[in-house]
Amino acid sequence: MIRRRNLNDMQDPSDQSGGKGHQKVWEILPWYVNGTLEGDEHEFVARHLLRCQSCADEVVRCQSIATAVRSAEAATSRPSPEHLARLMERIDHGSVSAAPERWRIRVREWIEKIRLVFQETPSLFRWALAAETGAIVLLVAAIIMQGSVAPSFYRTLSDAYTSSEPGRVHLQVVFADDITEREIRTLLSSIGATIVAGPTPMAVYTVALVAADRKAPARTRETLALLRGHPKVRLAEAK
Amino acid sequence: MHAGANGPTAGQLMHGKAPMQPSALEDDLDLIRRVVGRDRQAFETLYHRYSPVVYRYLWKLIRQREIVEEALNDVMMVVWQTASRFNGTSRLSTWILGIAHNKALKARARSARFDAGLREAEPHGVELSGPEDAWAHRELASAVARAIDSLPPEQGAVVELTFYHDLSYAEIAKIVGCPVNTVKTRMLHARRRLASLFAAESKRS
Repeated sequence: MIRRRNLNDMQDPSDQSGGKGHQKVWEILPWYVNGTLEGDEHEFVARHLLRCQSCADEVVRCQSIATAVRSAEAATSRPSPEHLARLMERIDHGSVSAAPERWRIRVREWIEKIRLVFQETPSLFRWALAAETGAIVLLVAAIIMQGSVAPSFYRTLSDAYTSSEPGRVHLQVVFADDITEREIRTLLSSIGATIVAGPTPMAVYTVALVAADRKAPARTRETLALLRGHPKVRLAEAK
Repeated sequence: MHAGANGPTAGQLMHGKAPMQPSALEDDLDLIRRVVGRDRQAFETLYHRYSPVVYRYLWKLIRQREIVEEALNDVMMVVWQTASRFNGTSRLSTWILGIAHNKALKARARSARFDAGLREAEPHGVELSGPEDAWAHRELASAVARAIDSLPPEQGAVVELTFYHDLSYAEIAKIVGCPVNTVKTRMLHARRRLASLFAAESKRS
């Protein structure tokens, strides 16, 4: 009975308690239950619930769903203790891609797949398949040897700069809290840069190297090194 | 039952969670600013604060421990590397869960070949069983939990973000990258699928 009433409510919102108003309330009941409705919307639902038994019942069901969601799988809700250590090691080594871990998983997947295929294949064809698989492995190895490794998903701070604006190099800089405006001017003047944006809510400035040549990444690296060595610069990276 | 916009939320009251105070938001903002400045201690604090939440969300969408940990690793690396892009227009948790959602989708795509194996590992069916009365509610909760696990990922994500993370539909839309109406529709579909459980329970009682 309850199921039928729910479906009817969803399919024919005008059946009771105010047509479109009922439909609107029905749609947002989960967020009434989790308490994120605000102002007029919350008041609208609260008033509707006083006269709509169908929606009041649905609130109870949403609460049951919430309880089930919250009580599920507490044991699997945390990473292993060594996870942070691995993450910090990755940061320390500047290894910005999880490519090695992915390769390990993929290789294992391929081995498992090959094993399953072998199990289901008549023995006469197994050697042919083995030879084919070996050829594929050799081909992949050859590609890797030529340097065609998977692309990194992240850009390191020292990666070559790529800008959408030809002839301009943009850097992101975060200054120390106690730096003065005069010190910023002096510093930027010394490296031939001007502020083009910022600060953002994260106190990040975007500065452009004046008349920088994108074909001279060495100058960008030198400028970044200079900024990073400055005692009142907390972060400098190519944008 | 509802505390309204100015007090603790219903979900928070129900589960004993305190609402996020302005000081907590400021604390988050200060934390991410320090991460922007390459403060490792701040990053570790941020990790301890958000990794359980992110891990759980990734687990709900991926369900393979090794891949979940890899995805968590990726999420936290993105946070470390792109902290300066957090613009403060949303809560920090919303921003991080948005990153996690994208990483989870990519991870799922990578391991799509093993979905059959995943399905095998999941519990089958949602039929209620067992003694009456004392066990009924526990059985129902368990059946609902299994049914939620069997929802399509996009519906499961909305259910999880709503009822575990206590997020508004607008925040969920931002995280999963779809219009607000799509969030509501996904939730409607999920509720419709779960309705049969309640109907079965109604017949039993």
